[in-house]
Amino acid sequence: MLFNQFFSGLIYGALLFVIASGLVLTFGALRILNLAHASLYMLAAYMTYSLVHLFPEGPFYFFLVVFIASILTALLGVLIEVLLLRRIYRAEELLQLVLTFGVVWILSDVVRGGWGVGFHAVPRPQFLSGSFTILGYTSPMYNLLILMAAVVVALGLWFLLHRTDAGIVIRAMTDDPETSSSLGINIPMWRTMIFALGSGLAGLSGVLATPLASLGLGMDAKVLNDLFIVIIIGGMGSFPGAMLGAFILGQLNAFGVLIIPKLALIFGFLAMAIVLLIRPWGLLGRPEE
Amino acid sequence: MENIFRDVRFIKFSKTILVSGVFIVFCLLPLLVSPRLVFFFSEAIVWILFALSYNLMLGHTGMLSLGHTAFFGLGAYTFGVLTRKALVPGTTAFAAVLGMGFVSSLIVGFFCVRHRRIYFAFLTFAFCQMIYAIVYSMYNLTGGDDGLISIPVPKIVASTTSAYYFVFSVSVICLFLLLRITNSPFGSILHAIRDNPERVEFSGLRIKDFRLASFVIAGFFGAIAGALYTILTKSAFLEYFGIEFMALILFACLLGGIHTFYGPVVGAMIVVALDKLLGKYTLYWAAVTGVSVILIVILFPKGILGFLKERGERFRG
Amino acid sequence: MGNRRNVMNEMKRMEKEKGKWAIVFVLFFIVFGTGWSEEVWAQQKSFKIGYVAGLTGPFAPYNLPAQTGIKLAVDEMNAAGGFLGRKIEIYTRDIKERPDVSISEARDLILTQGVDVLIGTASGSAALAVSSVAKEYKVPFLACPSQTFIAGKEGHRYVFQIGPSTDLDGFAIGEYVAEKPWKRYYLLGTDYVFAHEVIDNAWKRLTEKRSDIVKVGEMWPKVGERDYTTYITATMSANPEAVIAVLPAAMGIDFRRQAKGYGFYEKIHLIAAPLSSADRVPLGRETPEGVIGQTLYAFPYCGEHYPLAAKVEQMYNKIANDYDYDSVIAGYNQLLFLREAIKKAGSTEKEKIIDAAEGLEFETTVGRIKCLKYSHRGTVPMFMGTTTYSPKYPFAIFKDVKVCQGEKFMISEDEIRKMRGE
Repeated sequence: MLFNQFFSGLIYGALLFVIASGLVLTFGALRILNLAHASLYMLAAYMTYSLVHLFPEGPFYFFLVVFIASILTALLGVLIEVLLLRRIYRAEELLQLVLTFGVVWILSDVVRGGWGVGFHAVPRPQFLSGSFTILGYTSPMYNLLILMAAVVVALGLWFLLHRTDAGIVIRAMTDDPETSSSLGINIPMWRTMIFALGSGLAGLSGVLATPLASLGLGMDAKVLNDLFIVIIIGGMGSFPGAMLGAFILGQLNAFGVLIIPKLALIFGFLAMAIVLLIRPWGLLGRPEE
Repeated sequence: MENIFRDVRFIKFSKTILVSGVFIVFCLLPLLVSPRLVFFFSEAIVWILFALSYNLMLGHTGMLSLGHTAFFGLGAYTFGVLTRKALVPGTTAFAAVLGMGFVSSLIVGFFCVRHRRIYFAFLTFAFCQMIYAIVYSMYNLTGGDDGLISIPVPKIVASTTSAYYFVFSVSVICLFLLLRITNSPFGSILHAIRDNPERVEFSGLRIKDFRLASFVIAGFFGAIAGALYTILTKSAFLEYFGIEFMALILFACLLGGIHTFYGPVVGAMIVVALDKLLGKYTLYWAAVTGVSVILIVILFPKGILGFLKERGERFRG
Repeated sequence: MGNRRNVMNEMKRMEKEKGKWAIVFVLFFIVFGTGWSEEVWAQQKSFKIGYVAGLTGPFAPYNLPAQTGIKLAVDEMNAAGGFLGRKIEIYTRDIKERPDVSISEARDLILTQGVDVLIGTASGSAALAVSSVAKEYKVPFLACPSQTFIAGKEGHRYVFQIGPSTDLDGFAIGEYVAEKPWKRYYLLGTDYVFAHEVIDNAWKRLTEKRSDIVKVGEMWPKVGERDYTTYITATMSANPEAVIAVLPAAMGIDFRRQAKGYGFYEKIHLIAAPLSSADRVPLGRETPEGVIGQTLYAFPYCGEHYPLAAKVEQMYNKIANDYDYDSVIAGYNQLLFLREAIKKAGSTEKEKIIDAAEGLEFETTVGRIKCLKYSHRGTVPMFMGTTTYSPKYPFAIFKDVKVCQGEKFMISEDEIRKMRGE
């Protein structure tokens, strides 16, 4: 019984990590907390719903849809960065926060206008619709894909940041914004590309999440709440932190409903508050001066 | 003759006339418009009060709280639960609201104010969500997701007109108090903390205490606003704790101008109008609000009154 | 040359300033201009129906077809001369199924449009909220398709429920599964009033009829929950023989779909309520066979047994190419009720309509029903059946349908009197 709950918490944590990774990336390098990140996730999910109907069944087409939706979301990210974010890099945090919230509002209506208010469901792809049994416990095959995706994203990001030249630039922008701007690299272009990558990750997570549950208009808000908790617990600019935070929140959700179901909502925020009170920069973050 | 429009005294004079004029119109409102509009303005006044309380922290002390709606909700539910479930008379319930507003903001503030900007924001958000979760879980007391309806209010404030006058008079008193606080030496210290915290720290004052005071005062008036809203609508709902409401109030202050006193008044008025009326004309009110928010941030970062004030100063040159 | 540039910059700046002033004025106009334009009243002569329901939000799949059903009825009746010569007009407001919005929209419809009747809401909290407004302003309110039990101590003269309610729902389940051999039950319900009432009633009736029934566990996922993994695994760990799951709309759909991947249906018998068209059709052929379901409109049973049902199905299919009949007929029945009450009253005055409605018997799409005098509830049937598939339809349909109707399934008028404190 306990293992069942642990495993289901693990899956949700894996999904949360994929979503959060994009946010951590953009926050680290651009210093803007993009509240619309969850909205991009939602938009990608809805795009997947439409794309799936265009193509026939099959593993190739499934991954094609994943690819297309992620790219489209990344392009939208480019649009947002160029049109809006560029104007507020020097503005106070408050204005940045409010502006991205404005984008949240706009995107929620884009979804409503494009797909209506009903609930849409995307079935699991055929080649992943079976189940597997582990330790006497049956789980959908699809969950393995989520786990794999989290691992791939984690490894991919690590490789990008630590083994490529692009990674050096990104890390420089994250650790020392002022010095990097005097190094002769085209900062604005890098910003756009990093934001596009972050948005693409949001898109990827949106696509992967679609077969798990129906799509509905409130999915951005729910995910945004969870994202806050994850990055605060883990540390706002830290990828390992995001992994840890996502894992913790996944487990809290899984076991919370067993302990005090009505109050289960509170566990995530309680954890968030505790971390903020004793170690505000997160479990794996770094204190800024 | 010296151009009288540039004279500071003329500006002050016309400002007084404007404020007095608006005041008189509000006093006579029930005689001028239909009950539906009277109700609408009653709601607007509550939002204005709440925005003013919020701006004490945001605009005057430089504290970005994302959990202020917790106090609005607590004020609303304290009044609602006491009168509906415990059958406590209205006046006692209202007094309890004052107490609750003070105590809850003191407790929450104690934990939050010692932290810097972004962490303060997230902490207040976390506390607000926790309070929301607790209120949600106490279904027998608070009605949980269903909320409280048919809250009995004292006969003297039951009708649309009398409710309006009650809300209006209480809010005017609160506004006056907030005005005095903002313009007092205490207010100046708050402004100094907003603009230059290190300097204030240097001069020996403990910033944390002043921030806490600002937080508590804001929470106190926020709870009053919540109770007023419940008296007006005879109901209380969990949406009062929500981030959507918080975002609208934040936007209202920004729209009006956070560094002015009356900015939130103007901003809240516009935001209420948008929130209540926009839905009738377009299904896509969220997009319209979003676009407005973006336009305001880019074009009017100082808000409308901030913009007017700046123009005025430049005009007088 | 520097001067030229300065002048150009100054002009550009002034243009920007003008633009900003323009925006300021537009904003003020929005505030005060739109307020006053609301003062225009609609045509006095027509009979105005105020429809309040969550057209967005978790219960939209139940409300949207109900809205269609109402509109179909209104068009049909207007073609026949309206209500005693008065044309019927519908004023719709989306309450997002939130009680706070319900109250303000209902109040607004009454004060601004002067509606004669309010219809709508799917959730109990919205229904209660609108009911309180109806009572305050003395405007009749037909709660539809909300099934939450609102006739109890919150009931009053101005609220009607011509549709199934949670006592009928719960008792029907209890009676039905009492005939099955299962003993170990797990109870699952979305954490809101409707599910609590249905499960309480079902359990009460079930344990009254069978003394060997055992509850092995219960869970209450919150409204809007999408991920049921935890709940599915917890349920299965308790080893029940049967699960009574009261999860509406997307919540039920998500649960039933996700459960498949965990081998749920191989070991457990599922009793699902509601299992109306909105709950079955989106899953296509993914609903397992042999699930016991409850619905207020059994398909294709009702079309085959009630002539009015077949007629409304055809009317609906002229405008929509799907099978989402259930809420449509619920909405349609409200107008049938209104029409007959007005006919009997010989007037469209609110109080006279209410008086005529009490005790009224009339034909609906699910047979002949009566509006009970005191509680203002309609004696509609609820249907229990087992899911199966036919090559004709791309979704699960019902076989072995049992019609649950009448006193056995409803809380009596006397009990309701006691609830209201008389």
